[in-house]
This record gives sequence, C-alpha cells and structure tokens, in this order.
Amino acid sequence: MKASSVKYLAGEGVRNIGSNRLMSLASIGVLTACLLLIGAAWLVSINANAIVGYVEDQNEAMAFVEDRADYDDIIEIEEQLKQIENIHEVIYVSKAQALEQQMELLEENAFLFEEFEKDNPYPDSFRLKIDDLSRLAETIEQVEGIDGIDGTSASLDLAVTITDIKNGISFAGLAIVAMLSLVSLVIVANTIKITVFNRRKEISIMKYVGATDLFIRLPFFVEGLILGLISAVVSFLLLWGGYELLLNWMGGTESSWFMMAFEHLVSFEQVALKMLIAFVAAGMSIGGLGSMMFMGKHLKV
Amino acid sequence: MIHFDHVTKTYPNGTLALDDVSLKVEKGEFVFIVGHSGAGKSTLIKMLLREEIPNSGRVEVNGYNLVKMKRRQIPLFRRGIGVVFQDFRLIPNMTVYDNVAFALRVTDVSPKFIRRRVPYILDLVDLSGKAKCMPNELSGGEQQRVALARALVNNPSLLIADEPTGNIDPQLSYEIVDLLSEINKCGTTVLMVTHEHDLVAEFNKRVITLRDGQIVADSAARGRRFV
Repeated sequence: MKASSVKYLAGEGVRNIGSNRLMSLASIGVLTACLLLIGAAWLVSINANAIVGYVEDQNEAMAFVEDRADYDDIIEIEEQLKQIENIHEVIYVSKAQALEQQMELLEENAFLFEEFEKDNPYPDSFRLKIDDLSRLAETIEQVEGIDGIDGTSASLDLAVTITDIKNGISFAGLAIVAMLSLVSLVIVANTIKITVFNRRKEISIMKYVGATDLFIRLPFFVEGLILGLISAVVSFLLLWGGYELLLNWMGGTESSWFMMAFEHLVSFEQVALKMLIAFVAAGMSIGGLGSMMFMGKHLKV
Repeated sequence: MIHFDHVTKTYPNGTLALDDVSLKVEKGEFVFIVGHSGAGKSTLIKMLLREEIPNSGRVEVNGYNLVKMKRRQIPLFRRGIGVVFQDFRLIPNMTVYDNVAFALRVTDVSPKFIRRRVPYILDLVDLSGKAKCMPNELSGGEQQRVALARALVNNPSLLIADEPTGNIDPQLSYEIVDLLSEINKCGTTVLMVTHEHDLVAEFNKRVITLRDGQIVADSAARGRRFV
C-alpha cells in the first residue's frame, strides 16, 4: 500500500467520526463510563492502601540492651541492627533519654521519677522502624540473636492484622478492577458491533469495487484509535476533577476521622501519569482492536 | 471473457438456483440476461462477482478461474470488473467525486492520476456539475450515472449491470442503456440483467433467457424482436 493511500485512509477514519457523529458519541460515552468506573475503583484501592500503609509506618519495635554493655558494645549493636534488611531505621535511645521521655509523659507528676535520676532503671534501647510488617516475627528473632540484646517489645498481633487488611484491600481492588474491565469489554464490544453493523452496506460496496480487507479495515482502525484516545482523555480529566472536588470537600469537613484520612490520601498528581498512560493504552487498544474484531463477518462478500 | 461450464448451484436451504448452465460470452459482446424473478439471474451475477461459488462446474471470468481462486485474489479480480446495481449502492456519506474516486483509490494509483481521471469520467456521464453533491441530493437517474461512472473509472474489461434501470424513469432507462451501448462500442464487454422487455426489444443485442435456473433461449437477436 502506498503512503498516499495510508494518508487517505487515516483521513477517512477521522472523517468517519464526524459523519457518524451519534455512534461516535455513543462509543465515547460507553468507553468513558467504563474507564471512569475502573479508574475510580483503582483510586479507592490505592488510597485505602495508603491509609493502611500510614498505620503500618507507625508501628515500631523496641530492642533493649543488656545493662553491662558499654559505649563500644552499643556502637557494635547498632551496626548489627542496621545490617538487618527489614529494618529501615535504627534510633538509639539512651538510658537518660528514656527516663526523660517517661518524665515528660508524667507531666506535673514528673517529680515522682526524680529519684531515678541517680539510679536510672531504664536500659539503653533502640527504636526500630520495620519495612515489611508481615515479616516482623522473623526480624524480631534476628534482633534477639544479636549479642548484647536483652529483650524486645513488638506487637506481633497488630502486625498480622494490618498485613491481612492490606492484602485484603489489594485483592478486593484487583478483583473489582478485573470485573469492571470484563464488563466494560462486553459493553464496548457490543457498541462496536452495532457501529460495524450500521455500516455493513458501506463495507460491502467497498468489497464490490475491489478493496482489500486491509483497505477497508484501516479507517475503522484509525477511527477506533481516535475514539479510544478521546475517551481516555475525557475520563482522565473527569476523574481528576472529581477527585480534586472530593479532596476539597474532605479537607473542609469537621470530622476528625476524615481529617486523619485526608492527611494520608494520595494526591492525584502522584498517580496522574500512570493513570493517563494506562487509560490511553486501554482506550486505544480497545477502540483500535475492537473496531477491527467484528468486521470479519461483513468482509466475507 | 465469460465461460460457464455445466454450472450448478444449490443453496443450503435446498433451492436449486442454477441447473447445469453452460454459457460463453466473448470479448466485446453486449448481452441481455432476462428472466422472471427466481429464474437465477441474481445467482448468475453473484457467480460472476465471485460472491458465490458453484457446487459443480467451472466459472471463468476475465481469465480467472473463480472456483479455484483464493480469497486474497478476489479484490484484484473485482478491479477488472465494473458493476452497477439496481439500488445504485453509492456510499451515502461520500460526495459524488469521492464515490467515484474510491474505486480508483483501492487500486493504489497515484493521487495525481485520480485528480485527472475522476473529472474525465464524471464528464462522460454528464455529471461534472454535481461532483460535490452527496448521493441523496441526486435523482435516481443521476445516482445511477454516478454508479456507472464508478464502474467505468477503472477502465474495466467487463461491465455487469444488474437491473440498472429498475429504479429510474422509463425515458432515462433508454439513456442508461444508450450509455452502456456507447461503452460497449469502445470495446468493453457488457452484460445487463433486466426484465424490461421493451428495452431489450429496442436494442438489437444478444439475449439470454433464464427460467428455473436453466438457459431456455440464447439468441443473437440481430434484426428481430425478442418475444
């Protein structure tokens, strides 16, 4: 096929969108609605994960150092703790700091602890920030294996619960997106089928004058690509606008729960590029391939 | 040009459309095919365009063996044949110019050639002034002339006209057949299906009569009226 033919056929594809305005609009509407649903499900899922992730970050483990450890021992222990890969931060808390923190907590009753300043009962300790909570038990075992560590404190139950919730949300999100994608595919396929059926006469005429299948398919393909692209951009912008509105509303409410959640929501800009790419890829492949898929029957003239 | 050799066609529903038809049309001939509806005229046309293939027998058109032909060869074969239908079959959302140009575009010729050829053909069928019109803005006769222009633009060696006058006024019918006759004089083989006996009688051409899927009469009909 010559370049001039390809150019002509691409132009025909663009022109067809205009001349089949109603059907084009219907296709864009259907595809946009489907992408919106999928995108919304995706946003809900990543936000739920972000909130759970925040809770996860708050979870720390403590490791206490044996009383007889001296300064060099503590340096040595800190080095060893830092080598454990599931710990992303090690914060040293000295005996004195530990006491100070306790006294701060007691506020006006702090004088009760003044006695301890001479003989501090608190051990030196490390605060450990854990990367992956699901492997907490294993990490604690490693920590306890270090020479000079007297004991640890970590809430293993909480870790298990949070991990379960996280997995649940990821799975539910994936399942919903997959289901919506399937439903969308069926709806879009039907819309395209109607479009092609409406133009079966046109297709058969082209066959009679000796057009090859490729020649007939190409404009439909270009048309599908463009409709897919338009749908992707429209749904992306709608989703962005809707999300910003929601964030504004949440930022303005009095509800403390919303405020807490609001602090940790993912901003749209963080996912915008990823989502735009996914939408454009999905829209164009559905539009492009879909419009070609259902032509076979009508091409057999 | 056309050679049917003991061609039989039965449709899946059991209808016997063509029953052992043998037929030869030479290059440069003008042939009328007549017969009642259901006589097998449409099947004959479909056979010529390789829309249907026979259950038995051989069909040869323009040097192609249509029975053995592969699917991907069909477009190339059809470009050598011009077709005109009773219902015109113009593409409704293309202008007159584009409808005619489309038949050229599928053949991958240069845009420059298209720009020269289409106006020439439109002038031939006397539609130069209507190039920018849409098909639905034209009368039946004009639409049929557009269809004729489209059929001729590729300079086909065979022109098939399936009841081209069925949807237009009687006087215009004569004009169309006159036009076909002129085209035939330039060397194109013309095969016209019709059931308008007046037309057939007016033009002294070879007439093939079909009845119940068989050829019941084949006449050169020179100088005598068809009965």
